[in-house]
Amino acid sequence: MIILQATDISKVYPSGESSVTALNHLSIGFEAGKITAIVGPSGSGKSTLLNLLAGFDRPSSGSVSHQGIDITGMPETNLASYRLAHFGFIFQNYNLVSILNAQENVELPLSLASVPKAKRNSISSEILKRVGLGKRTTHYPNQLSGGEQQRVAIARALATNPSVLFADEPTGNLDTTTGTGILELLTEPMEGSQNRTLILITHDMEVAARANQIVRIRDGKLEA
Amino acid sequence: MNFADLSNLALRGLMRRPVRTFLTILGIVVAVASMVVFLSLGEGFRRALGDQIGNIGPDIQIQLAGSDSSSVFGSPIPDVPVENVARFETLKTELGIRQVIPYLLTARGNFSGSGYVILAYPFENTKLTDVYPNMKLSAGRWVLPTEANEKVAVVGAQAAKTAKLGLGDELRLSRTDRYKVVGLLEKGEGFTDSAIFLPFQSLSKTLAVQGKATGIALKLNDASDARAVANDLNKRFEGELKAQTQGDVVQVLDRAIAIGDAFRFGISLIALIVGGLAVANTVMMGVYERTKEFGVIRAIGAKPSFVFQLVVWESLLMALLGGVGGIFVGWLGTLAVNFAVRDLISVEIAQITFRLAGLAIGVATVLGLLSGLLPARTASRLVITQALGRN
Ligand SMILES: Nc1ncnc2c1ncn2[C@@H]1O[C@H](COP(=O)(O)OP(=O)(O)O)[C@@H](O)[C@H]1O
Ligand SMILES: [Mg+2]
Repeated sequence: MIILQATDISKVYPSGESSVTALNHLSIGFEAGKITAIVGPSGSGKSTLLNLLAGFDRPSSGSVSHQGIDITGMPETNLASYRLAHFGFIFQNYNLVSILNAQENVELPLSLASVPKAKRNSISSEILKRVGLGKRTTHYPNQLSGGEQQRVAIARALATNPSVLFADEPTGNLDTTTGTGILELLTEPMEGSQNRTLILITHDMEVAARANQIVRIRDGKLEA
Repeated sequence: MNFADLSNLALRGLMRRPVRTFLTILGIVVAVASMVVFLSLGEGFRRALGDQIGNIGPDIQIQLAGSDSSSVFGSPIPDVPVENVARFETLKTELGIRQVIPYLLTARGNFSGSGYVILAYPFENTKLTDVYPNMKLSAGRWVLPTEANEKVAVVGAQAAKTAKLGLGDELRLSRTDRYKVVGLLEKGEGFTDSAIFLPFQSLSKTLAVQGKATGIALKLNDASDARAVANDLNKRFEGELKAQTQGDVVQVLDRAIAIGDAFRFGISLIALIVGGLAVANTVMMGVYERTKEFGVIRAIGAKPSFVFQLVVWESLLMALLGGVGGIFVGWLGTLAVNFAVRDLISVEIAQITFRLAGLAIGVATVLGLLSGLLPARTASRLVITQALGRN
């Protein structure tokens, strides 16, 4: 079953007098519960694609639909709620909120979704334990190593139990050993959330090998 | 997100740069405090007016139709012909007038400084206690009916201090005219404390205004008739004389105070605007610094309106803290003002009322909202992919 579908999407960035075509009439579908690795040279449009799929930005043309619902034309307010309810994100540079500690970072999407405090606490404690940070809950991002920060970021992305998880080069800033740990965390099947779809950008072919599907991008197009 | 979480997030945002936040709040404190002190003066005057209205004078005052009664604290030129007294005497029974008292009023020095007011009454047929029933002597005696032409004086407690007069001393009004102090008054409430009372005829000669009075005071049998009697008199003497009740006088004074308030508020508005700009600047810098974090929050699923609220709330928090601090510092300021002028005026001229405190909080709220609008707009409209930067 296709859970996420991009249909004929293009993204053109204005760049001074001219413009850059980051994505060029690209169509792709993602199977529910599967891991997809997106690979391609730097500047080929991988991040642009992920941003469009995740609803961070809108395509110049074409559309993206999730579970049959077109998210391309949604007003920003609805789209934000949609992201909160259905999507999770992991960034290369972790992007934790520096004024919040580990537990508060994990609880941020939950409090945005108005989950009551007690429930929030139990969810965040449990997930932080699962990512191996049960003893680091009150540490602030600047007190955590890169690998630990990325674990918090994963916990934050998983807190709302999203149906699709996006990760843009999640191990790009980490050494190989740490990166492997993070990938295991991302790709291991988790109890009670088997149907998670993971779409992940990577440069690492070993990482890509773990995926059910590998998508190659070059110059804003799919490579056959 | 509930309000507690939002507040927590806003506070954390502010505490990221504690010194900058503190300095900004201090700016608001100073602005609000200056407004509070400025406006507290008006409140003090207003309250003093309420307290002392019984002492300002008689039930009805008669003046020339064209003259300005707002110069109560100035030195109006005596322009009411004394012959008019007879006209009111004839109306006594018809209108329920108990007493008709011409008076002279002249001020020395300025009211806020070392000044006092000289009031002259015809003591041949009037006692000071007729006009001011609560007045009491602390030393000496009253002016006798036989002294209507003598140069004698009864001095209010505050006036005695400012003019440095004791019993038996002489008050010099001109090169030749010296008035001997025969009585000192007990400290009372307000205006009469700063007055010196002389015989009407003597002062007429000293000032060379024989036949003229500053005004004519009417005491009524029933003070509650004042409004109706004044209306009646105004009809009878239209275009020639005007009759004012105490209420009229208070109204004029109140208007004068309101004008003063507006003026002082205008001055403090400058401080408030500067404080508001400081808040706007601080919040805006906070927004720029945290562009990426706002991008992350939006990416996770916060609505633009949430980011807007968050930033406005940060701004409002600073302004409200500044407002509360400003009221406190302003209160200290009014204590200082009242202490500084305690020897000059017998009333506490600076007063912080609930009304004023409410105004200060209201102004701080408006300030916080206005200052937060632009930064909040900026923060809520940022483009997520740009805010996150390029991976
Ligand atoms: N916000 C932007 N403004 C202008 N050009 C952009 C922007 N984002 C990406 N690009 C351009 O689009 C192309 C694809 O970028 P990106 O999707 O980040 O590639 P990748 O993630 O594969 O390295 C690049 O040429 C890049 O310079
Ligand atoms: Mg990229």
